[in-house]
Amino acid sequence: MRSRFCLLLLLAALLTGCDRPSSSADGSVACWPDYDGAVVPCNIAPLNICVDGARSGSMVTVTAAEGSLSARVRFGRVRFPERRWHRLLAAAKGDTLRVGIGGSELFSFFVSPDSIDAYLTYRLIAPSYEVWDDVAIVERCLEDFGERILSDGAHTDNACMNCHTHAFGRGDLSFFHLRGAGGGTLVSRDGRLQRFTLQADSMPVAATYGDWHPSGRYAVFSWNCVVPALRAQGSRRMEVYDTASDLLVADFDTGALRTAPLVSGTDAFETFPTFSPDGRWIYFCRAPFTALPDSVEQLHYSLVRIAFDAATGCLGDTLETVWDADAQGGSASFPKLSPDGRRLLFCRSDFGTFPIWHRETTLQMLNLATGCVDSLPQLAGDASSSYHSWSSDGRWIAFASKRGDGQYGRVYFAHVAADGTVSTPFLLPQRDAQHDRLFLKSYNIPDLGSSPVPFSVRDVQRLRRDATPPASRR
Amino acid sequence: MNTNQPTVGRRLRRAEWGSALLVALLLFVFFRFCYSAHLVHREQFSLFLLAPEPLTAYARHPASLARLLGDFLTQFFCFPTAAAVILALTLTLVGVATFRLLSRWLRGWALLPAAALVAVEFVRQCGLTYPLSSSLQLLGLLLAADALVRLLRRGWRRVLLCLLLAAGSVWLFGWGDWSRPKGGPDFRVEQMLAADQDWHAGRVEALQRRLDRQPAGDTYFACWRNLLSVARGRLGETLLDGPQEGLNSLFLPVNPTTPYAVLYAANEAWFLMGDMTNAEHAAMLGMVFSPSAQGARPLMRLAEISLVNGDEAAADKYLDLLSHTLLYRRWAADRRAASRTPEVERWLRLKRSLLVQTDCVRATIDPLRSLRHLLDNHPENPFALDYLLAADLLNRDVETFADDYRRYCPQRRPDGVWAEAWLVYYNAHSVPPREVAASGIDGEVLRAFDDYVRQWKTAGGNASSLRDRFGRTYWYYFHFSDHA
Repeated sequence: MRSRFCLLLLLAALLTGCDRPSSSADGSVACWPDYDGAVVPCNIAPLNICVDGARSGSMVTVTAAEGSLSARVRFGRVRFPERRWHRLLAAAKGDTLRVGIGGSELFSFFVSPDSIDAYLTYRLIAPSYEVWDDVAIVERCLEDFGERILSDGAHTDNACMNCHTHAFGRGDLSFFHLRGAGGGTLVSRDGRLQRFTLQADSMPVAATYGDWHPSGRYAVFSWNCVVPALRAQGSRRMEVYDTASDLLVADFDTGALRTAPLVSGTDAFETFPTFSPDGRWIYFCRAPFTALPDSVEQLHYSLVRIAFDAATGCLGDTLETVWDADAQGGSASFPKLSPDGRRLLFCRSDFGTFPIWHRETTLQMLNLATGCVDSLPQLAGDASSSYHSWSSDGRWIAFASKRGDGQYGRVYFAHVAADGTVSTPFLLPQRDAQHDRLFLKSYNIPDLGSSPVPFSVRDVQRLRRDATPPASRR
Repeated sequence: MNTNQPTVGRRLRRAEWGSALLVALLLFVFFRFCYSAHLVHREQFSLFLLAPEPLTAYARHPASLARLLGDFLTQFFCFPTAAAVILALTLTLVGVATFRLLSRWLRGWALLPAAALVAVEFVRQCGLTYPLSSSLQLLGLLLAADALVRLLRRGWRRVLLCLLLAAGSVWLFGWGDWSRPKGGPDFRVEQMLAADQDWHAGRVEALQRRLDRQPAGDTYFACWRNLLSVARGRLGETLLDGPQEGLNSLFLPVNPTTPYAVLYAANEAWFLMGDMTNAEHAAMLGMVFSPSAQGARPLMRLAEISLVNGDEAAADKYLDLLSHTLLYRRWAADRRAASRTPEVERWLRLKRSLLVQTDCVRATIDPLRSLRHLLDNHPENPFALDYLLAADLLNRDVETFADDYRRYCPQRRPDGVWAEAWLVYYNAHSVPPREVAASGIDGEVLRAFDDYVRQWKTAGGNASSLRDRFGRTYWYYFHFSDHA
């Protein structure tokens, strides 16, 4: 009897507690996320949505020039059937699809003939300021909602991990850092997962930000002494700055670490390096040394580049300024070149070097041939946009943005046409569209990959365990 | 025919239910009147969301039914009586199920293992983070085992059914938490949690009484005493009523080794003073490091902080979550922009009156800089002022105390411990008696200071002869405290 009562209680709670579509004051129906006007790849997973103000059981229809599909509103959500969705999109390339309910249009989106790299890696981390707990690096298939954990706290004694980086979108070539005992830079290369310690004797800390050389033999990194500090006013929250930073190039064939005087002096901060697609240049951010944190608002990073000789692994002896912070105003971070080498996408903040905590951070596109900067107003939101990556064919970019609530980073995508035109961004779709509203972790460093990475969480665990002295293991 | 069998059966049942009732009553009394803060704490740092995705997520993890039921029932732990009933019932049922299972073979002796299992589970439930679902797992497995035995007794043909039942039980109830039970009831932690909950609920008199009962020298309770005194505007009178350990008695630590419950509690002082960044920092870390990395109470605080900051979008994020709970949806609705109550509006205006208008960059562990920044923006902030002056004094830095006093409250007549500190300063700077008298310090305090100086010289630096009369003065602290 008691158990029946409890069951009834549970049922009642579930029924009363779950979403009831609430009618808006004027009876209109609103949906979230906002996909209106988005350009989406033809292979993207269904754009499931939340629908507010619609009666449960109402039919939402996606209509193309040829074909349509429908799904019912359940608990304020719509989940489009995956297979039928993909069939519809495959047939609707180059077409505008309209999504409507009860004869009214909710939104429309364009299906690009360009497909997107099917895999995306990102880090899931709570916005916990200077410390961490239960961080994970995850790989998500963009064609469905499949997620695979590549590394997490449960398998690494709650180690910090960051910056999983594909080499120009290649799934078979990537690295990420795993901190703490048994950690290092884990490099997936030639079918193997190897651990490297990228810290020379002269370096106070190990490598931080980095990127691949197209050959797969080298990677360029910065090491950064990162200091997190708190701001006092409003929702500005944090200021993160480097007290020192330099560049180094790692040779994964020989294990050598190289630097050069121009990128390792104490008169400047160097950070966020990346290779050009042809491997002949290293682009990075550079700022003259200044006293911190008092002068942090005078800290402006320019974009510069230095030559790189892949045959010798040596850096050049001159710096060229690509984007002058003093002339342009602001501070650059996180430069990433398009696969064709014609454009450079970077973050622009008012000052400083940690874009995700600067609400004003926007993405900017630099045309390397003309030097013109497109401020990409269509990508701007009410909070930072940063940590972007290019798809392997250069037609898509992925980036993290805290737009919306200003606290939790989410992944957005935008199409980049051959002429450099960037479309309206759209949010990473979820199996349950309400997921992002209820999720208390940020998506960090989204990085596109054309194929799944070949290692698993167990491989990482094994590698770390083998590198950890027995006394250090828990 | 054995006419004794029904009698034996009746006796067994009587023994079973009699024991069960007694155990249930004892457990209820314990959890309701001796250990309720632990249970309330568990509810505050858990979150049962009534939404399809989190509910269906239970099915994708082991022990799905046990976890679902456990989390559902835990949300009622905010009511101490309900929490005690739920836990007492659960543990009693564990005993009853064990007895039922084993009495087939052990008859009345089955009471012993039943009691032992209840005792083990009781010790586990006295832990800070041991979830209700773990006890429900155990209960579920015992009930399943009992059903299994009944089925098998009806014939070997039911083996398939038994296998299904076994597999289903493991899926629904998991394999249990076989971690070794640790320690037993921790009444110090109980008092720590109760103090925090008294503050949260606004039970200031109860908090004062609780703090008065705590042993001297405990830094955690010293922080609460000071916070309560600051909130009542009495820190100048009460600062040295008990032992202080420098800044550790003013600010709970926020560092990677701090337990999450203390991390979270550290936000309360900053929230009172109007430093929303520091408050959010502590509250967020307390939530992130808690067992489930979410909780109704930290979410409420994060929502409040965002509302005070005028960051409606961030507040909506937290209010969205709370609106999917049974017990906090009303609270969330009252704070939405569209349906905010006049009481909430008044509260917001009050909190916003202390917000800083200028920005600064400070280390995460630099409370003094934070306090001065608050005062540079609002010199009338009484909480920040008293904390800053107290920090100077507990650091035995009367020079900085004098600077801060002159800078932020030059017109305030010194009294209590502030007056005592000024006398130390005047004495160090050989300020003429006429000037000291003109400072506004009460004549009795001046005379007491003269007595202290005289006796201190006579005692030759011996603390024990001064303790009785001057043990609660700043002069005694200045000379003899180990903490600075």
